[in-house]
Amino acid sequence: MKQKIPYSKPSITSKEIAYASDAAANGWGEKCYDYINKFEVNFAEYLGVNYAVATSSCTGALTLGFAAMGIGPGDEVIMADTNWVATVSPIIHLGAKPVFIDISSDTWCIDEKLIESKINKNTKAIIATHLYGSLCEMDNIVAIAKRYGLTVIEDSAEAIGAVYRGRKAGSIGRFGTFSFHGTKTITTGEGGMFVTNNEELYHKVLVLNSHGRGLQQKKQFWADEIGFKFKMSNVQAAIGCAQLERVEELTKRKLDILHMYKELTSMIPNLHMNSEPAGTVNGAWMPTVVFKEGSGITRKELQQVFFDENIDARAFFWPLSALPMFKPVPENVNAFSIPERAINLPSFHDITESEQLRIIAALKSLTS
Amino acid sequence: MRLMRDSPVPSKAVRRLKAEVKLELEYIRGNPLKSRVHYTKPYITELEVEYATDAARNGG
Repeated sequence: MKQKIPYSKPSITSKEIAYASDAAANGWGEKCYDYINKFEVNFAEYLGVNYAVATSSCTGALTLGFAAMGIGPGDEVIMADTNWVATVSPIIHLGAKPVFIDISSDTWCIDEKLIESKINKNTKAIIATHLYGSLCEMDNIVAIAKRYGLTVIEDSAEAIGAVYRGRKAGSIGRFGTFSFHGTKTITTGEGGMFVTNNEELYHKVLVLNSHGRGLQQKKQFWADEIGFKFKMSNVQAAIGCAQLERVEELTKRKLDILHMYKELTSMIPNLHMNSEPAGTVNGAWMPTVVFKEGSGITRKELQQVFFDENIDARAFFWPLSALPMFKPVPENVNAFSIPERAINLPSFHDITESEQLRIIAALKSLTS
Repeated sequence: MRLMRDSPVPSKAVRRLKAEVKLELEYIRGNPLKSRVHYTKPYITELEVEYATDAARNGG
Protein backbone atom coordinates (compact mmCIF):
# COMPACT_ATOMS: atom_id res chain seq x y z
CA MET A 1 0.00 0.00 0.00
CA LYS A 2 1.38 3.39 -0.97
CA GLN A 3 1.71 6.01 1.73
CA LYS A 4 -1.44 8.11 2.04
CA ILE A 5 -1.38 11.66 0.68
CA PRO A 6 -3.88 13.77 2.66
CA TYR A 7 -5.55 16.69 0.91
CA SER A 8 -4.72 19.06 3.72
CA LYS A 9 -2.90 19.46 7.00
CA PRO A 10 -1.61 22.54 8.79
CA SER A 11 1.98 23.74 8.96
CA ILE A 12 2.90 23.76 12.65
CA THR A 13 6.34 24.77 13.91
CA SER A 14 7.91 25.26 17.33
CA LYS A 15 6.57 28.83 17.21
CA GLU A 16 2.90 27.75 17.21
CA ILE A 17 3.59 25.15 19.92
CA ALA A 18 5.44 27.64 22.13
CA TYR A 19 2.72 30.29 21.81
CA ALA A 20 -0.03 27.74 22.58
CA SER A 21 1.90 26.49 25.61
CA ASP A 22 2.40 30.03 26.83
CA ALA A 23 -1.30 30.82 26.44
CA ALA A 24 -2.28 27.65 28.32
CA ALA A 25 0.21 28.34 31.12
CA ASN A 26 -0.05 32.11 31.44
CA GLY A 27 -2.99 33.41 29.44
CA TRP A 28 -5.45 33.78 32.25
CA GLY A 29 -6.77 36.56 34.49
CA GLU A 30 -5.65 39.94 33.16
CA LYS A 31 -3.84 38.18 30.32
CA CYS A 32 -6.83 36.19 29.08
CA TYR A 33 -7.32 38.40 26.02
CA ASP A 34 -3.68 39.20 25.24
CA TYR A 35 -3.24 36.81 22.31
CA ILE A 36 -6.74 37.57 21.02
CA ASN A 37 -6.08 41.31 21.01
CA LYS A 38 -2.68 40.80 19.38
CA PHE A 39 -4.13 38.50 16.72
CA GLU A 40 -6.87 40.99 15.86
CA VAL A 41 -4.51 43.96 15.65
CA ASN A 42 -1.94 42.09 13.59
CA PHE A 43 -4.55 40.61 11.27
CA ALA A 44 -6.11 44.01 10.59
CA GLU A 45 -2.66 45.40 9.85
CA TYR A 46 -1.80 42.49 7.55
CA LEU A 47 -5.04 42.88 5.63
CA GLY A 48 -4.94 46.67 5.52
CA VAL A 49 -8.25 47.25 7.29
CA ASN A 50 -9.21 49.28 10.35
CA TYR A 51 -10.95 46.62 12.41
CA ALA A 52 -10.82 42.88 13.02
CA VAL A 53 -12.77 40.68 15.43
CA ALA A 54 -11.58 37.13 16.06
CA THR A 55 -14.41 34.59 16.11
CA SER A 56 -15.01 30.91 16.72
CA SER A 57 -15.51 30.28 13.00
CA CYS A 58 -16.03 32.02 9.69
CA THR A 59 -19.70 31.08 10.01
CA GLY A 60 -19.79 33.01 13.28
CA ALA A 61 -18.15 36.00 11.60
CA LEU A 62 -20.70 35.92 8.76
CA THR A 63 -23.59 35.64 11.22
CA LEU A 64 -22.36 38.62 13.21
CA GLY A 65 -21.84 40.70 10.06
CA PHE A 66 -25.26 39.91 8.58
CA ALA A 67 -26.95 40.53 11.92
CA ALA A 68 -25.08 43.82 12.38
CA MET A 69 -26.32 44.91 8.94
CA GLY A 70 -29.86 44.12 10.01
CA ILE A 71 -30.36 41.33 7.46
CA GLY A 72 -33.57 39.55 8.39
CA PRO A 73 -37.04 38.40 7.30
CA GLY A 74 -38.13 39.76 3.92
CA ASP A 75 -34.56 40.44 2.79
CA GLU A 76 -32.85 38.68 -0.10
CA VAL A 77 -29.15 38.01 -0.41
CA ILE A 78 -27.61 37.13 -3.78
CA MET A 79 -24.85 34.54 -3.75
CA ALA A 80 -23.21 31.90 -5.92
CA ASP A 81 -24.92 28.54 -6.03
CA THR A 82 -21.47 27.03 -5.51
CA ASN A 83 -20.56 27.59 -1.88
CA TRP A 84 -20.02 25.60 1.27
CA VAL A 85 -23.25 25.51 3.27
CA ALA A 86 -21.64 27.70 5.94
CA THR A 87 -22.10 30.73 3.69
CA VAL A 88 -25.87 30.33 3.43
CA SER A 89 -26.76 28.99 6.88
CA PRO A 90 -26.48 32.37 8.67
CA ILE A 91 -28.85 33.90 6.12
CA ILE A 92 -31.41 31.19 6.83
CA HIS A 93 -30.96 31.46 10.60
CA LEU A 94 -31.60 35.20 10.39
CA GLY A 95 -34.80 34.62 8.42
CA ALA A 96 -33.63 36.08 5.10
CA LYS A 97 -33.79 34.44 1.67
CA PRO A 98 -30.74 33.36 -0.34
CA VAL A 99 -30.89 33.81 -4.12
CA PHE A 100 -28.57 31.38 -5.88
CA ILE A 101 -27.00 32.31 -9.20
CA ASP A 102 -24.55 30.51 -11.42
CA ILE A 103 -20.78 30.60 -11.30
CA SER A 104 -18.19 31.50 -13.91
CA SER A 105 -16.76 28.48 -15.67
CA ASP A 106 -13.34 30.14 -15.40
CA THR A 107 -13.06 31.37 -11.79
CA TRP A 108 -15.81 29.18 -10.26
CA CYS A 109 -16.90 32.31 -8.39
CA ILE A 110 -20.23 34.15 -8.77
CA ASP A 111 -20.94 35.13 -12.38
CA GLU A 112 -21.40 38.84 -11.88
CA LYS A 113 -23.07 39.22 -15.29
CA LEU A 114 -26.10 37.40 -13.86
CA ILE A 115 -26.47 39.47 -10.71
CA GLU A 116 -28.59 42.34 -12.03
CA SER A 117 -31.32 40.05 -13.32
CA LYS A 118 -31.90 38.82 -9.76
CA ILE A 119 -32.05 42.19 -8.02
CA ASN A 120 -35.45 43.30 -6.75
CA LYS A 121 -36.83 45.60 -4.05
CA ASN A 122 -36.02 43.05 -1.35
CA THR A 123 -32.38 42.57 -2.31
CA LYS A 124 -30.04 43.81 0.39
CA ALA A 125 -26.63 42.30 -0.28
CA ILE A 126 -24.37 40.38 -2.63
CA ILE A 127 -21.96 37.80 -1.24
CA ALA A 128 -18.69 37.50 -3.14
CA THR A 129 -17.17 34.18 -2.15
CA HIS A 130 -13.59 33.80 -3.32
CA LEU A 131 -13.86 30.09 -4.00
CA TYR A 132 -10.76 27.97 -3.33
CA GLY A 133 -8.70 31.19 -3.27
CA SER A 134 -9.81 32.34 -6.72
CA LEU A 135 -11.12 35.89 -6.85
CA CYS A 136 -14.53 37.24 -7.75
CA GLU A 137 -14.58 40.08 -10.28
CA MET A 138 -14.81 42.64 -7.50
CA ASP A 139 -14.78 45.88 -9.54
CA ASN A 140 -17.88 44.79 -11.47
CA ILE A 141 -19.64 43.50 -8.36
CA VAL A 142 -18.94 46.67 -6.40
CA ALA A 143 -20.16 48.78 -9.34
CA ILE A 144 -23.45 46.83 -9.53
CA ALA A 145 -23.93 47.11 -5.78
CA LYS A 146 -23.30 50.84 -5.89
CA ARG A 147 -25.80 51.27 -8.72
CA TYR A 148 -28.56 49.56 -6.72
CA GLY A 149 -27.57 50.66 -3.21
CA LEU A 150 -26.60 47.15 -2.12
CA THR A 151 -23.94 45.89 0.23
CA VAL A 152 -21.05 43.69 -0.89
CA ILE A 153 -19.79 41.07 1.54
CA GLU A 154 -16.61 39.12 0.92
CA ASP A 155 -16.60 35.56 2.14
CA SER A 156 -12.85 35.14 2.14
CA ALA A 157 -12.81 31.95 4.18
CA GLU A 158 -10.64 30.32 1.50
CA ALA A 159 -8.80 33.38 0.25
CA ILE A 160 -6.12 34.53 2.63
CA GLY A 161 -3.19 35.59 0.47
CA ALA A 162 -5.38 36.45 -2.51
CA VAL A 163 -4.91 39.95 -3.91
CA TYR A 164 -7.30 41.79 -6.26
CA ARG A 165 -5.70 44.73 -8.05
CA GLY A 166 -3.53 45.67 -5.09
CA ARG A 167 -6.13 45.01 -2.39
CA LYS A 168 -6.19 41.89 -0.28
CA ALA A 169 -9.29 39.70 -0.50
CA GLY A 170 -11.62 40.51 2.36
CA SER A 171 -10.67 44.18 2.52
CA ILE A 172 -12.85 45.41 -0.37
CA GLY A 173 -16.47 44.83 0.66
CA ARG A 174 -18.47 46.33 3.55
CA PHE A 175 -17.08 43.49 5.57
CA GLY A 176 -15.03 40.37 4.99
CA THR A 177 -14.77 37.07 6.81
CA PHE A 178 -12.02 34.47 7.13
CA SER A 179 -11.75 30.88 8.27
CA PHE A 180 -8.93 29.37 10.31
CA HIS A 181 -10.26 25.82 10.21
CA GLY A 182 -7.57 23.15 10.42
CA THR A 183 -7.57 22.73 6.64
CA LYS A 184 -6.97 26.39 5.88
CA THR A 185 -3.78 28.17 4.81
CA ILE A 186 -3.41 29.62 8.30
CA THR A 187 -5.18 27.89 11.13
CA THR A 188 -6.23 28.15 14.75
CA GLY A 189 -7.76 24.66 14.73
CA GLU A 190 -11.23 26.15 14.46
CA GLY A 191 -11.70 29.87 14.19
CA GLY A 192 -12.52 32.85 12.06
CA MET A 193 -12.21 36.61 11.67
CA PHE A 194 -14.58 39.45 10.89
CA VAL A 195 -12.94 42.49 9.23
CA THR A 196 -14.24 45.88 8.18
CA ASN A 197 -13.30 49.51 7.69
CA ASN A 198 -16.72 50.63 8.92
CA GLU A 199 -16.55 51.79 12.53
CA GLU A 200 -20.30 51.59 13.13
CA LEU A 201 -20.48 48.03 11.83
CA TYR A 202 -17.47 47.09 13.94
CA HIS A 203 -19.10 48.45 17.10
CA LYS A 204 -22.34 46.60 16.32
CA VAL A 205 -20.41 43.36 15.87
CA LEU A 206 -18.62 43.86 19.19
CA VAL A 207 -21.95 44.33 20.95
CA LEU A 208 -23.62 41.38 19.20
CA ASN A 209 -20.64 39.14 19.97
CA SER A 210 -20.87 39.98 23.66
CA HIS A 211 -24.45 38.76 24.10
CA GLY A 212 -25.75 42.21 23.24
CA ARG A 213 -24.04 44.07 26.05
CA GLY A 214 -23.59 47.71 25.05
CA LEU A 215 -20.04 49.01 24.77
CA GLN A 216 -20.76 51.75 27.33
CA GLN A 217 -22.85 49.52 29.57
CA LYS A 218 -21.43 49.61 33.12
CA LYS A 219 -24.08 47.50 34.78
CA GLN A 220 -22.85 43.95 35.25
CA PHE A 221 -24.66 41.13 33.49
CA TRP A 222 -26.95 43.57 31.70
CA ALA A 223 -27.72 42.76 28.06
CA ASP A 224 -29.13 45.62 26.02
CA GLU A 225 -30.26 43.35 23.19
CA ILE A 226 -30.23 39.70 22.18
CA GLY A 227 -26.86 38.88 20.74
CA PHE A 228 -24.53 35.99 20.10
CA LYS A 229 -21.25 34.65 21.36
CA PHE A 230 -18.85 33.55 18.65
CA LYS A 231 -15.57 34.26 20.45
CA MET A 232 -12.17 32.75 19.86
CA SER A 233 -10.21 31.47 22.84
CA ASN A 234 -6.83 32.86 23.85
CA VAL A 235 -5.11 29.50 23.20
CA GLN A 236 -6.49 29.43 19.65
CA ALA A 237 -5.46 33.03 19.10
CA ALA A 238 -1.94 32.18 20.28
CA ILE A 239 -1.65 29.66 17.45
CA GLY A 240 -3.11 32.27 15.12
CA CYS A 241 -0.48 34.83 16.17
CA ALA A 242 2.29 32.40 15.29
CA GLN A 243 0.66 31.48 11.97
CA LEU A 244 0.22 35.15 11.11
CA GLU A 245 3.91 35.81 11.73
CA ARG A 246 4.48 33.17 9.01
CA VAL A 247 1.65 34.25 6.69
CA GLU A 248 3.87 35.35 3.80
CA GLU A 249 5.75 32.04 3.91
CA LEU A 250 2.51 30.03 4.18
CA THR A 251 0.64 31.82 1.39
CA LYS A 252 3.66 31.75 -0.93
CA ARG A 253 4.04 28.03 -0.41
CA LYS A 254 0.39 27.43 -1.36
CA LEU A 255 0.87 29.45 -4.53
CA ASP A 256 4.06 27.57 -5.36
CA ILE A 257 2.19 24.26 -5.00
CA LEU A 258 -0.55 25.50 -7.36
CA HIS A 259 2.03 26.65 -9.92
CA MET A 260 3.81 23.32 -9.73
CA TYR A 261 0.51 21.54 -10.44
CA LYS A 262 -0.18 23.88 -13.35
CA GLU A 263 3.22 23.16 -14.82
CA LEU A 264 2.79 19.40 -14.38
CA THR A 265 -0.73 19.38 -15.89
CA SER A 266 0.06 21.68 -18.80
CA MET A 267 0.29 18.72 -21.18
CA ILE A 268 -2.95 17.10 -20.03
CA PRO A 269 -5.71 17.98 -22.51
CA ASN A 270 -9.16 19.32 -21.60
CA LEU A 271 -8.14 20.30 -18.09
CA HIS A 272 -8.61 23.66 -16.36
CA MET A 273 -7.13 24.73 -13.02
CA ASN A 274 -7.57 27.75 -10.71
CA SER A 275 -7.58 30.89 -12.81
CA GLU A 276 -5.17 33.78 -12.34
CA PRO A 277 -6.50 36.82 -14.21
CA ALA A 278 -4.11 39.72 -14.79
CA GLY A 279 -3.80 41.99 -11.77
CA THR A 280 -4.70 39.30 -9.27
CA VAL A 281 -2.89 36.87 -7.00
CA ASN A 282 -4.76 33.63 -6.42
CA GLY A 283 -4.96 32.56 -2.77
CA ALA A 284 -4.35 28.99 -3.98
CA TRP A 285 -6.04 27.41 -1.00
CA MET A 286 -7.33 24.43 -2.93
CA PRO A 287 -5.73 23.54 -6.28
CA THR A 288 -8.53 22.07 -8.35
CA VAL A 289 -8.77 20.34 -11.70
CA VAL A 290 -11.91 20.66 -13.80
CA PHE A 291 -12.15 18.59 -16.96
CA LYS A 292 -14.04 20.04 -19.89
CA GLU A 293 -17.50 18.76 -20.74
CA GLY A 294 -17.15 16.06 -23.35
CA SER A 295 -13.71 15.05 -22.07
CA GLY A 296 -15.26 11.86 -20.72
CA ILE A 297 -13.51 12.26 -17.35
CA THR A 298 -15.91 12.13 -14.43
CA ARG A 299 -15.65 12.87 -10.72
CA LYS A 300 -16.38 9.24 -9.94
CA GLU A 301 -13.46 8.11 -12.08
CA LEU A 302 -11.19 10.72 -10.53
CA GLN A 303 -12.20 9.65 -7.02
CA GLN A 304 -11.69 6.00 -7.86
CA VAL A 305 -8.19 6.44 -9.30
CA PHE A 306 -7.19 8.62 -6.35
CA PHE A 307 -8.64 6.05 -3.94
CA ASP A 308 -6.67 3.28 -5.66
CA GLU A 309 -3.49 5.36 -5.29
CA ASN A 310 -4.22 6.17 -1.60
CA ILE A 311 -4.60 9.87 -2.35
CA ASP A 312 -7.32 11.93 -0.67
CA ALA A 313 -10.04 12.78 -3.19
CA ARG A 314 -11.95 15.88 -2.20
CA ALA A 315 -15.08 16.63 -4.20
CA PHE A 316 -15.89 20.04 -5.69
CA PHE A 317 -18.72 21.74 -3.76
CA TRP A 318 -22.21 20.64 -4.74
CA PRO A 319 -24.61 23.44 -5.70
CA LEU A 320 -26.38 24.66 -2.58
CA SER A 321 -29.70 24.63 -4.43
CA ALA A 322 -29.29 20.86 -4.84
CA LEU A 323 -29.37 20.37 -1.06
CA PRO A 324 -32.64 18.99 0.30
CA MET A 325 -33.59 22.18 2.15
CA PHE A 326 -33.59 24.31 -1.01
CA LYS A 327 -35.39 24.35 -4.35
CA PRO A 328 -33.05 23.26 -7.17
CA VAL A 329 -31.96 25.90 -9.67
CA PRO A 330 -30.85 23.71 -12.60
CA GLU A 331 -30.39 26.73 -14.87
CA ASN A 332 -27.20 27.29 -12.86
CA VAL A 333 -25.54 24.97 -15.35
CA ASN A 334 -21.93 25.50 -14.28
CA ALA A 335 -22.74 25.01 -10.60
CA PHE A 336 -24.50 21.74 -11.43
CA SER A 337 -22.10 20.50 -14.08
CA ILE A 338 -18.62 21.26 -12.77
CA PRO A 339 -18.76 19.04 -9.63
CA GLU A 340 -19.38 16.06 -11.89
CA ARG A 341 -16.00 16.48 -13.65
CA ALA A 342 -13.76 18.06 -11.01
CA ILE A 343 -11.66 17.24 -7.99
CA ASN A 344 -9.56 19.13 -5.44
CA LEU A 345 -5.89 18.18 -5.24
CA PRO A 346 -3.83 17.75 -2.06
CA SER A 347 -1.94 20.94 -1.24
CA PHE A 348 -0.64 20.89 2.33
CA HIS A 349 2.46 23.00 2.85
CA ASP A 350 4.83 20.08 3.35
CA ILE A 351 3.77 18.18 0.24
CA THR A 352 6.82 16.93 -1.64
CA GLU A 353 7.58 17.13 -5.33
CA SER A 354 7.43 13.33 -5.54
CA GLU A 355 3.96 13.37 -3.96
CA GLN A 356 2.78 15.94 -6.47
CA LEU A 357 4.23 13.78 -9.25
CA ARG A 358 2.34 10.78 -7.86
CA ILE A 359 -0.90 12.78 -7.96
CA ILE A 360 -0.30 13.93 -11.53
CA ALA A 361 0.53 10.37 -12.58
CA ALA A 362 -2.86 9.31 -11.22
CA LEU A 363 -4.54 12.05 -13.27
CA LYS A 364 -2.60 11.10 -16.39
CA SER A 365 -3.59 7.46 -16.01
CA LEU A 366 -7.16 8.55 -16.74
CA THR A 367 -6.33 10.61 -19.77
CA SER A 368 -3.81 8.39 -21.54
CA MET B 1 -2.25 28.24 40.79
CA ARG B 2 -0.74 24.95 41.81
CA LEU B 3 2.38 23.49 40.31
CA MET B 4 3.15 19.80 40.28
CA ARG B 5 6.06 19.32 42.66
CA ASP B 6 6.81 15.72 41.82
CA SER B 7 7.21 16.17 38.08
CA PRO B 8 10.64 14.70 37.20
CA VAL B 9 11.54 17.21 34.50
CA PRO B 10 9.47 20.40 34.57
CA SER B 11 8.52 21.59 31.11
CA LYS B 12 9.62 24.98 29.85
CA ALA B 13 6.13 26.33 30.45
CA VAL B 14 6.12 25.09 34.04
CA ARG B 15 9.56 26.56 34.68
CA ARG B 16 8.26 29.86 33.36
CA LEU B 17 5.20 29.62 35.59
CA LYS B 18 7.34 28.94 38.64
CA ALA B 19 9.57 31.90 37.83
CA GLU B 20 6.53 34.15 37.47
CA VAL B 21 5.06 32.98 40.76
CA LYS B 22 8.41 33.69 42.46
CA LEU B 23 8.47 37.17 40.96
CA GLU B 24 4.90 37.81 42.01
CA LEU B 25 5.63 36.73 45.58
CA GLU B 26 8.70 38.95 45.71
CA TYR B 27 6.63 41.83 44.38
CA ILE B 28 3.88 41.34 46.96
CA ARG B 29 6.36 41.05 49.84
CA GLY B 30 8.20 44.19 48.80
CA ASN B 31 5.16 46.25 47.89
CA PRO B 32 2.80 47.90 50.36
CA LEU B 33 -0.11 47.70 47.87
CA LYS B 34 -2.31 44.67 48.26
CA SER B 35 -2.41 42.31 45.31
CA ARG B 36 -5.70 41.99 43.46
CA VAL B 37 -8.09 39.31 44.65
CA HIS B 38 -9.78 37.81 41.60
CA TYR B 39 -13.32 36.50 41.83
CA THR B 40 -12.27 33.52 39.79
CA LYS B 41 -9.44 32.06 37.81
CA PRO B 42 -8.85 28.64 36.30
CA TYR B 43 -6.87 25.89 37.99
CA ILE B 44 -4.04 25.13 35.57
CA THR B 45 -1.38 22.51 36.17
CA GLU B 46 1.38 21.06 34.05
CA LEU B 47 -1.18 18.58 32.74
CA GLU B 48 -3.33 21.24 31.07
CA VAL B 49 -0.28 22.95 29.62
CA GLU B 50 1.08 19.71 28.23
CA TYR B 51 -2.28 18.73 26.72
CA ALA B 52 -2.57 22.13 25.05
CA THR B 53 0.99 21.78 23.77
CA ASP B 54 0.21 18.35 22.40
CA ALA B 55 -2.98 19.62 20.72
CA ALA B 56 -1.05 22.44 19.06
CA ARG B 57 1.64 20.03 17.88
CA ASN B 58 -0.50 17.06 16.80
CA GLY B 59 -4.17 17.93 16.96
CA GLY B 60 -4.70 20.28 14.02
